[in-house]
Amino acid sequence: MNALPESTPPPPPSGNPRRGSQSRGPGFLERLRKPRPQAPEPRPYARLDVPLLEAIESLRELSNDLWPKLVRRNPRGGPTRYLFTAPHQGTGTTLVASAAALGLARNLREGVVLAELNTERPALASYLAAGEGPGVGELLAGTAEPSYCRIEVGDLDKLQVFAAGEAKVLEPGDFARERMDRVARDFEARGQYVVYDAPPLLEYPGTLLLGEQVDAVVLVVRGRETTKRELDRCIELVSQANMRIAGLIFNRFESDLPFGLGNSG
Amino acid sequence: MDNQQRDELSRDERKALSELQETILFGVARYWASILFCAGIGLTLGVYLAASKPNTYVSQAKLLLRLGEREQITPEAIVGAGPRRESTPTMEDEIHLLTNVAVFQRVVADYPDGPVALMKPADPLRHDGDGSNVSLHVRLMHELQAYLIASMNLEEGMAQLSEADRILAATEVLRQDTAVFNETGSNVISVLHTSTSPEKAQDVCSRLVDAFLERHREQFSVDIEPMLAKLDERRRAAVSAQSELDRFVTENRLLNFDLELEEKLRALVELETDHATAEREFRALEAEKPKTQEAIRSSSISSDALAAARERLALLDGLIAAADVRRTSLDEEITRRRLELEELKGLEPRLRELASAAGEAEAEFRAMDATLRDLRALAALDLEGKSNLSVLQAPDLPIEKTGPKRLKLVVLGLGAGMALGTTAAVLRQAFERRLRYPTSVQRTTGLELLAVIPESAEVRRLQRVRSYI
Repeated sequence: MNALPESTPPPPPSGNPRRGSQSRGPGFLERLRKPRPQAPEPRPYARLDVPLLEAIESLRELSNDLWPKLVRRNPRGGPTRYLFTAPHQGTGTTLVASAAALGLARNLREGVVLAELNTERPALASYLAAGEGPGVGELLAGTAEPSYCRIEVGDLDKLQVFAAGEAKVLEPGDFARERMDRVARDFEARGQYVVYDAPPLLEYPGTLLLGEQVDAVVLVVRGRETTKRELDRCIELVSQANMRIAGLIFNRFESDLPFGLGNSG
Repeated sequence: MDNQQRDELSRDERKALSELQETILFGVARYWASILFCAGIGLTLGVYLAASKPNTYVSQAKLLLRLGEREQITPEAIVGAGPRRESTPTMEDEIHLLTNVAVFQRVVADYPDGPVALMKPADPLRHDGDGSNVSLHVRLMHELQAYLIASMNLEEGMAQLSEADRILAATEVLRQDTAVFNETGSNVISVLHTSTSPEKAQDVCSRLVDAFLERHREQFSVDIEPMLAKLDERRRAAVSAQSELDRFVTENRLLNFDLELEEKLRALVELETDHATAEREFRALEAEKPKTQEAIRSSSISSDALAAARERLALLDGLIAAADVRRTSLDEEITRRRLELEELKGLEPRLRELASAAGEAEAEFRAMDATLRDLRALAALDLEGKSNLSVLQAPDLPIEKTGPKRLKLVVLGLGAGMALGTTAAVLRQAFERRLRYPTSVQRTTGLELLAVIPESAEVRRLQRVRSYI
């Protein structure tokens, strides 16, 4: 894989329409008319000096401490699926979900899928300096194939990243459609772990519709931003949806107490 | 309650206690600067209060109360209308009497230089002249006190009031600065007065003691002049009652009423006895006559007996007549004597009534006379200035100051500041809405804390990338 400048969109796969910000990939009818490309090339990406990875590597808590807590075999067989969500925007869910997926892929040497479901405010592609291109939004709309949307990260061949794609408003029930099921099945076929970076729970309650696609929820809160009431409400919603909460991640913690008080980390 | 419920309750209690401890600890740790600031404010306030208050001195006096005759006398007892008080006045009664506001008003009204002089604190700089050994910080403290006293403008403020209002204001201050009490079971009354100089404390205490003694004398002094007229009236009543009794006795010749009544009763009884005897004799003689006549007519009687019987028969008529006369006269005498007796008995109620009235009037007079004799003796003591309330210990000149407790004020100020700061910190922490500490979140939610990600420059850079988008 050749390293590409940050702002340069990836070249289209050979024999395929150009992907990127000006092309949304072949539509459904087109795919019916045209044969499926053989061995499609994923969006190439080989740089590790991107903000997301730099941030993850800079913090031991992100690079080393988080992923072991998520190692778990699904008792029903099949991949273990985690949903990362938060009460509100700006909590750092994408960073944390990415760190978890990266840690699992790097250390377990098993296939891990990281899918960004927040199409309203996509960030993963820019964090990875992967440029614009189709993503989960297009998958849900049926206007792109997974192979076109996949992002590989450096030499981590076990990690497959699916960014949100083009920014668009999430409609109520987007995650309840049959297409979501299909997308989810595709993700599950690609590895032993699926990590969803979901929209904020209090801003898009439709996240709860992913209950059947996930085994556990990881709640992310941000220090001095998230309120107690918001967290309690999230826990209440998740519990009402009969979803298991794997745990809590406290992000952007900055102690104003001496002697390490208040920090259990 | 079963074990599970008990365990849950215990867990909830522990959780609540743990939360409280955490709130307090985190609040103090987080807002320690504010707490220190409040403590500093409190300390400053304490130092100011300690420095601004002038020294106070307490002069103490003791009075001894011996409750005696005068304290037990009531108007009813003087006029003999009732017994003396069964319960003597108590120490509490005496203290109520002495601490009446009028007593304090009198002290204020008689104070030299007026009520304002009584209220005004002593000059703190009076001993700070050249050559004194007063240290610099003490001198500065006195300067501050003098400044504050001058800024109060007491004279100007009081000048705007009427004389009566000035006295009232000074009276209130005097009452606040004075304590009058006795210990349970003791007849000693303690009088304590607090002032801003030893001399003034002693002087005011002395004036108070004099006022208390005077008040006690006023309350229990004996004035017999109004009683003399009453005594004279009693005397005249007794004399009048006796005169009426004498007149009744004289008019009805009842000098020895009881003796006379007894004699008449005895004579009547004798007459009735004689009458009964005469009656029996008469009946016997009357019964003998037919029997004698029967005997005379009898054929079996002898001649001697017959002669005797005829003789007897001749006598019987005379005897019967004589017996009848005596019987009749006795009967008349008895009737007369009974009438006399009835008349005498009819006078008895009135006699008794007059005798009783005369006796009562005499008794009242004598009782009142005896009381007044005692009162004359007590009045003589009053004239000599002797009272049952006396000075046991004269007001002393206090050498050591009793206040203010400067160290205590400073410590209290500091403590209050810290308490206020701590309370504000804990409250602020308790009402904190946002999540700040992972331990708190873990404890309140019960969820496992998978990771605690600290704030870092790289994360902030990532945020800027997001913002740029």
